[in-house]
Amino acid sequence: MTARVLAGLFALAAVMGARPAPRRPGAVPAIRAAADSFPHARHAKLFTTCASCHAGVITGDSARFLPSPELCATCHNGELVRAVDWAPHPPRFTNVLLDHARHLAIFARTGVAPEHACQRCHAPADSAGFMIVGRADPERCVSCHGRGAPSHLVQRSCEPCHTPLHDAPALAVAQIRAFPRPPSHDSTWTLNHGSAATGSTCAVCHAQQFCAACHVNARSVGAIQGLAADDRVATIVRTETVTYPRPPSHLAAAWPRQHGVVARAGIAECANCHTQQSCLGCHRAAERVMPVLALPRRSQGGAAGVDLSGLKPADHLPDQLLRHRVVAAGGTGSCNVCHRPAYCVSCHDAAKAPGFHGPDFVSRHAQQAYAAEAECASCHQTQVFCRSCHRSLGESNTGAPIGKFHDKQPGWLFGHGGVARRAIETCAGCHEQSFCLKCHSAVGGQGVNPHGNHFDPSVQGKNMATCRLCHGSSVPSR
Amino acid sequence: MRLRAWCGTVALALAAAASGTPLAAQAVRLHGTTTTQYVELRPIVYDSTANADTGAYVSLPVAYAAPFTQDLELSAWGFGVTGLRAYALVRGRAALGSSLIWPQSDTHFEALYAYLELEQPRYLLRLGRQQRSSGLGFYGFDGLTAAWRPLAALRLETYGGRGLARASMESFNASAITSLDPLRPDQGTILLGASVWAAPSPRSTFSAIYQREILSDRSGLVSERAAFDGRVGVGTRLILSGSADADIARQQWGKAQLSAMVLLGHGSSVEVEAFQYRPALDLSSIWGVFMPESHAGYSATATVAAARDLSFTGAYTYRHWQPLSSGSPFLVDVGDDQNELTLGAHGRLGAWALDGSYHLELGFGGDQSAGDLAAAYAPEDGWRAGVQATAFQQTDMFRVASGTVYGLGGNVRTPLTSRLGVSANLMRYFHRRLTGTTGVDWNQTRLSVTFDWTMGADADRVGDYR
Repeated sequence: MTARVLAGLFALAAVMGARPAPRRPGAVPAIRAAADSFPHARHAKLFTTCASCHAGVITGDSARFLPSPELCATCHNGELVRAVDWAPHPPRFTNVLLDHARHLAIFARTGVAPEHACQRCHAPADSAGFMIVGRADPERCVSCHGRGAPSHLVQRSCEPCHTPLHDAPALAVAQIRAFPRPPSHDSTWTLNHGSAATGSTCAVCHAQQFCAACHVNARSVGAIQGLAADDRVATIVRTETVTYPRPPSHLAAAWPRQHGVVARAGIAECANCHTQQSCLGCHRAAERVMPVLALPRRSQGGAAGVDLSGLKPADHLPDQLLRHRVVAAGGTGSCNVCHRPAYCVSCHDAAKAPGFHGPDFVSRHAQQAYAAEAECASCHQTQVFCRSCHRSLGESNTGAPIGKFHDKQPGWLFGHGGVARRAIETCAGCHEQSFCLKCHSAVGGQGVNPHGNHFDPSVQGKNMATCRLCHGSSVPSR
Repeated sequence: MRLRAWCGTVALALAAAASGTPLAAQAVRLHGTTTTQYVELRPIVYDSTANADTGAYVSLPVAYAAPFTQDLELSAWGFGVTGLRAYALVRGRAALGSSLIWPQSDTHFEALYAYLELEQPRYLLRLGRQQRSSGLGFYGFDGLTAAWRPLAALRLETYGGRGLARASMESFNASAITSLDPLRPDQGTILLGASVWAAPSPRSTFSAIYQREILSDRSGLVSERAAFDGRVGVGTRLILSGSADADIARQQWGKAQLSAMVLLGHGSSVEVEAFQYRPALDLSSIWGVFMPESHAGYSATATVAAARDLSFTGAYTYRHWQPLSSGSPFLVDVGDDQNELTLGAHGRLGAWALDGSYHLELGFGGDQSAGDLAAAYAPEDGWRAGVQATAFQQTDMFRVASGTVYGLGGNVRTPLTSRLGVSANLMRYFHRRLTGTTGVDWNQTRLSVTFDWTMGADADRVGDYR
């Protein structure tokens, strides 16, 4: 049973892992070489010219480009030679622009014998024997057209030989998907192709949808709009996952703080990969970063753009919830880049933030207040907040004899001083100042001195009005 | 008058939002949060005839509070000047037939923020009502903030204006405060401050702030404080943090902490901390003349991420006060130490999330043992439906109010559209009293329903971290 479950899990994992691999923009699978379907070499001694079978190549009659089965059957009739079941392959659709007659004429002008003209393209090398031929190898083309180039894929321009994709409607999706990847389209190509994408060469392999799979600003980029739309390309990109490479500048540690300068200098550059939603992952863009409004919005069916959701500044460490004051204390600027004041209020709200303290804090808070596990007065105005509720519930001083509420301490009246010094804020949560002055006042109370051993009158003397609450007009100087 | 002003503001905001389809050069966004709560409580009252005429606290019938809160957040920008915007976060309150007074429910209008701001790459000016949050706590004021940013990682800022009561949007001498404490000064305050913030590396940040608060007739000082916060990343694994605030007026240190956190990778970390606590009490009240004592302690926290979506947390904190019992024979069983232990676990499997925690406190103030458990189905599209259970037991040190409470409830959050969401939370608590009559009956039902909506220009930053 366990084995079955494990096998099932492995199978499930295999299925889930069978998604198409993430593709870097511009990546195209390598081309597969086509095999020659006719054994040319075995007929080398039979035919003296290629035109014996491929007469249409010379005359331009496409119906006679390839020999018919009947022509083969003149020999392969089962009597003279064994019968064969050979038929010319169906017309092969390509985007290659090739004029055989023109090439033959050029070869003729340059003195190439007609019987050798075909081999200049269809043989693997000039030195190959007669009828050692197959499908024309593009690398043979560059022996004339490439001025010594090592590969036909390094050509800067493809149009002389290839028609734009849009003009090759017969090409199948699989053929387009199998287009070879030029050496220029290496790992750095994605980040640097912009300067090269100015001519019509791109259109040989690419259509609008290919660029729009990554470029969120495809609709405003002239080079992309210059490409034709193509449903076959749309089919290809729909099945592939786009991952955006990070430019070297974005890898710098200081980039989160410095990117604003770059963005302000030229937001259009950012718009290649970033939508407004990218920025909204952190910025409240519309209000604070007006240039972001120049970015395109994420559109349905369009490129998703770089997803920065969940990105946090480097200083937002795991204890950020408890330690963020070091950042917040710096003033208005840093937090407000990402957060509205209302976000802070969602927790730092004396009257309306039940989620901050946890369940039923109303009943539990006394212990935390006594121990001063947090400074209640930072967020709660004790007179308004604590005392109003305690008074409403009858827990504040309500006329009961002193000590009746603190009934677990029989000697509370005489022992409360030490507790008060430890947790004076909790006293203020219930008691008005006048309550304490009933005893601790020099003029209206019992004259019980509340000052501790280290009391410095000069400190409180900075606000004499408070001194007068107890001492009246006769505030002692010492 | 306040209600009228609030209605006027709402009407203006709605009118602006109704026409708030973004224009070429102007945009307005209105975001509102409407919250209604229902809270059952059972007050107590002292009855001098109870307990054989010796007097005792007795419970009154169950009462309830139904506070209604309407937050409106208005953002307007695009006035033809890049970086200029208006922002306001105002709150309206009402009590829906409550028989209890919920804190501040009789304050029908409150402006948490209302300012005009001009932000440029190098400087920022903000004029109006604003709050300043720092190591000193929250201080609101009506005035001007000016910030200068000569470098990307350096900001100098100064601010000042009419001060508001600390941690409140009421003026220093507002009737809402003086009615609860008649001895407060009968005049307002002037608040002045300056701060510097620097971030020399992505993981290193320093900030310092100085703030002075004086009575508006300049007859006395209310508070003069400073705070420093620093965090340094050493390599990729070690984070050192430190903070301290000083009461300059009283010439003594307030809170301070020093911690070191080691990042173990994959979400695991270990942190140790030493700290001191002393309350900050301004000179306008008598509380400071009682010479409050500080306490100190240390803590250790470990977070272990056992798997990508499974983590465990454990924390221990120790606090110590100056010895009290030796000097006060009238107090019973008042220790000088407190121990706190917290254990937690978080797991997620697909859209299912499970959180559990246990919290134990033993020491000064009383003892408390509490456990919480929550399970939720929360797919990534923002919907959430969950159940939660809680149980706690506590014993107070200074009054007989011990009890055990169990709670059970549920919550739901439904983002109906990208601009409209509804959430609700219901809990029922069952109190099993152990001893005493002084405490409030904790048999309670609590319900809150919240509507969150946005109108006008493009919705703000999406997700929870708005």
